[in-house]
Amino acid sequence: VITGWEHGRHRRQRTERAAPETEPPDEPPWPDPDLGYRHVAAGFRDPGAMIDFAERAVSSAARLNEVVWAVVDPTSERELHRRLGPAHARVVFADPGGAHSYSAQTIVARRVMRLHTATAGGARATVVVQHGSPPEGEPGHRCRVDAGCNAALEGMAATLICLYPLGDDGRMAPDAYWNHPELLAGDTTHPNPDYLPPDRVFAANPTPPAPPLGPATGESGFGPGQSLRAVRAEAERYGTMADLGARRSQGLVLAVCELVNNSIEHGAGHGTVSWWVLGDRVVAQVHDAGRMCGAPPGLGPPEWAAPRGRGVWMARRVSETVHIWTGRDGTYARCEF
Amino acid sequence: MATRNESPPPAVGVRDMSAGPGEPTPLDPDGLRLSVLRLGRTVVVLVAGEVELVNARRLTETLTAELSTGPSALVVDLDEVRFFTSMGLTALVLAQREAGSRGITMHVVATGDATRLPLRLTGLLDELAVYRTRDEALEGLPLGPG
Repeated sequence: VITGWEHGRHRRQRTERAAPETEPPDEPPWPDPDLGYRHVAAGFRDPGAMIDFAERAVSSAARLNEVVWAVVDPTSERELHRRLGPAHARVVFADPGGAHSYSAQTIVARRVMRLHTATAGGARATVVVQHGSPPEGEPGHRCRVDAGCNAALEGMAATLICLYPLGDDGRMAPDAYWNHPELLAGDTTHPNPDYLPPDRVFAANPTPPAPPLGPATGESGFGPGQSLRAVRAEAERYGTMADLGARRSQGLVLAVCELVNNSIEHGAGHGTVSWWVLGDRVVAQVHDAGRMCGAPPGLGPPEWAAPRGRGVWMARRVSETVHIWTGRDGTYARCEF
Repeated sequence: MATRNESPPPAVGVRDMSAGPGEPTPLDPDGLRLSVLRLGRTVVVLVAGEVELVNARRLTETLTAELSTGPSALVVDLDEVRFFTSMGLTALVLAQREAGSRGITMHVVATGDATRLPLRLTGLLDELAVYRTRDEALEGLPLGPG
């Protein structure tokens, strides 16, 4: 049993801030702010019970001055609005991972960016996610989002609470047991004995290819010991062709160079870059014959003193989408602008 | 396609401050130029050109070598860098770690987008002591003899 959910600490916290107007009688015990990253799964047979819990989760976090997101279906959102009253303004009804993307790793990286900013001033963040409804995609996609968060959010002052419907067997979907170190039972969380580290989840549930794009506009090669000058020149040329503007063009150059760097250092050492200019969009795709296993790289920022691990993270920060996957003939890294 | 560059890295030029600004020296064949100014107990490493996979090791080695001479301060001046990748960030982080462990002050000069964008995206703009001009970076550092 996680002791951080006990009432005393929670109450003491709350008395430190300006008088709250009302105090719900059935307050759930709530996370200890010192606990770092938490990822909790909670299963509900009854949609009403799920809403009750979601309401208590978001209102309790909001009262602790946390930054709160709720990722719920439209019906639940309307109901939470109604129940929270004016307090609903404290809750962002959206995914910190932004709009839905085919790329689970892109959603994870966006969540990391958003949560990083939100918690930079010392606040804690809580994200309540209702699973099992569109547009979250197929279960494998949701599973990779959850496992990716586990890989990237470690150490961050954030709580992710995932709400699952319970099946007829009284159990949540299998990925709930793989990806959540804590399971809620009543008002308490318990360590989950079936939790799997993200690398194992990605090994069992690998990232699928990005959608096909048709014939490429152009292709160029790269290899070890070569300067990236030629790749830079290509990126600038395609950026101009799509009229990306100075800032996005600079991002494109940086992103593609970092993905090529990553391929030379960790992949086969040589490969190709394919380019697509699609109206005002540019897509670049780096391919090498190497294989990637485990969680995708660069989902979050490294510690400042870490010598490596910045290249792909930078590419993700400047691109709309960065999707890295291993197929039958090697590893692909696609970035979209 | 070019093959791996097996030739020994070009030497690092040491500039004499009394010479004043002259014609810019051309970049080395690997796209990078490193030169060193010694101002009292402060060492300034001037970096110009492109910092990427093929040449970043030279930057790391130069910074390490200068730190090992035991200055009071090291200034890494990236003012003339026009392309900067994560490999350059690695060089800065390794140098900062080394400087920290030796009690040496390290300042970085980053002026343009080419260097400031990667520093900003990775949070290093806040973690390292980054200045916009060399004059700002040198302020307060021991520049006199002895």
